[in-house]
Amino acid sequence: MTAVQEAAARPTGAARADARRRQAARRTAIVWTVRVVLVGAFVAAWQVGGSSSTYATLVFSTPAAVVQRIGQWLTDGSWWVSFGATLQEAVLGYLLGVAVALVLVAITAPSRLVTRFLAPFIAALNALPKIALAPVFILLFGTRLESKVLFIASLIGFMVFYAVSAAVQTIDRTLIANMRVLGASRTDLLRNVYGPAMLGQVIASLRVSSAWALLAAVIAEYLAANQGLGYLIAHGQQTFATADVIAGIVVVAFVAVALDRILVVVERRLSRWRPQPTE
Amino acid sequence: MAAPTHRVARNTGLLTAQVVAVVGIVALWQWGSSTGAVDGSFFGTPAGVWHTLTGWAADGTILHQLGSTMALLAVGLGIGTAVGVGLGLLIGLSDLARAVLEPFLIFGNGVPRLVLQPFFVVWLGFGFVSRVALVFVVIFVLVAVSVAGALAGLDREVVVNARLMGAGRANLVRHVYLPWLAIDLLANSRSNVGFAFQAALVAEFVGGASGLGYLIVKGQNLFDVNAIWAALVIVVVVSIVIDLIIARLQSRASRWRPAIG
Repeated sequence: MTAVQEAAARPTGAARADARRRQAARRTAIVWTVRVVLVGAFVAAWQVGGSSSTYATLVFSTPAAVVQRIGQWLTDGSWWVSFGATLQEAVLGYLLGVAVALVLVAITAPSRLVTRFLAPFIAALNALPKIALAPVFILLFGTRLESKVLFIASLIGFMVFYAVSAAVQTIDRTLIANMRVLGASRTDLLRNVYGPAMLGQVIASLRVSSAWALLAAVIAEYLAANQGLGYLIAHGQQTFATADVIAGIVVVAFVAVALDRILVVVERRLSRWRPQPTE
Repeated sequence: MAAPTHRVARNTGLLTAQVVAVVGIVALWQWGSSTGAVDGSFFGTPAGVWHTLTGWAADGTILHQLGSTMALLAVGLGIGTAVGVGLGLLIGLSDLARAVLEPFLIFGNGVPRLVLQPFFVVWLGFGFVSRVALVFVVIFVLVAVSVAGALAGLDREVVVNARLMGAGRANLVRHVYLPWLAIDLLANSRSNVGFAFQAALVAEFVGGASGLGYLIVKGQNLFDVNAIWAALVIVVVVSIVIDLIIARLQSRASRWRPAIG
């Protein structure tokens, strides 16, 4: 605070503002230079090191080979089928998971007895690393699309259920009591209190859970599948095509980050009505 | 993040109902598979799971594989936390480092790092090292993000006052930054350990011939559902125990603080 007051108290002539602007520009230039140098050095070292011997190429591949591989994929129709399969699993699994979670919350949340009955089971499930369940789904439901969708749905379903039921439990009891006094029925409560609270939480958890949906799809495909990005990575690993492995990982990374950026915008739009958290 | 779901059932009636529900489901499952209503070779049977578990307990499999996973968890968490704190301090204390490195950190945090394991396996082999690498990569980014965030959230007044009273950089780190970070790390430790456990299991799925994740994947490859359930039972018990230990540590460490909420 004091720094701001000081800055405000100082006389701010045009020359001074100009100097400050120039200083800021120089700083940005330095920051970008350092960033570019860091990335450049990394890529150069990888390229040189990766092509230094046959063994190194086998293990690390080279950035050029990875870029080339991604380029080939992007112009290859069959790769897009694989990519689409992964996205389809992630999206269907996500939607199914959210739907099941919301239904379960709607059933369990209004009753304190049911909530308390389920609490220890939910705590145990929450402590379990859910990714460990992937082999169960593969064994029980095979390697087809349905198996992956069910796996992702169970993962996302639990995450969303956990977050949403916690949010529902923090709803002000007085609010609910007041609405009851005013004659609100169960449906009214669901529509006007529980519904918005639940939806808000689904939106809030959208970024984290969608990243998990993508990751779960890739891991399930890696473990057992005949298409999808995870399968491409596994296949590359088995055939010692390191460029494929790295290219697959890079694609997953970029899809995840792009998805995240998009969802940041979506989230901001959908929660514009909420008071902004102070940060 | 952590929600208060650890509400202990005070009511003995409720506890009874919970126990009855579990026992009932297990009994129904067993009865169904012995009468053929449930396909035991497909879904496994409680007796089969029990048999596998006792077998593993007798021949030392449980201790051996559990030890392997716990060692992985401890080493990965240790190195990951140390590097993460270092990187977080660098970003939190130097404006230039923050400006340069923050986008990389955000990118690294957004990337699903668990998919890196196939690369680590190609690079570092199927041994312990490649598995530690995955746990490390998952943890150090999380820790760096939370440490950098914690430093940004540190009350400037405290720092200014400490400086005013003559604290140098070393004193600031020791008496202001580190205690503040310790609180933050402890608060995040529950979810961090959860992520580390997840990473350890994935690492064991992908490469290696030991650990709880390996037990699960071996069950999958041998079409032995009972082995998968048995391994999952161990995983669940271990995760609950770890969770309880951390919760205990947290409440112990925060006893001096005024209660919040």
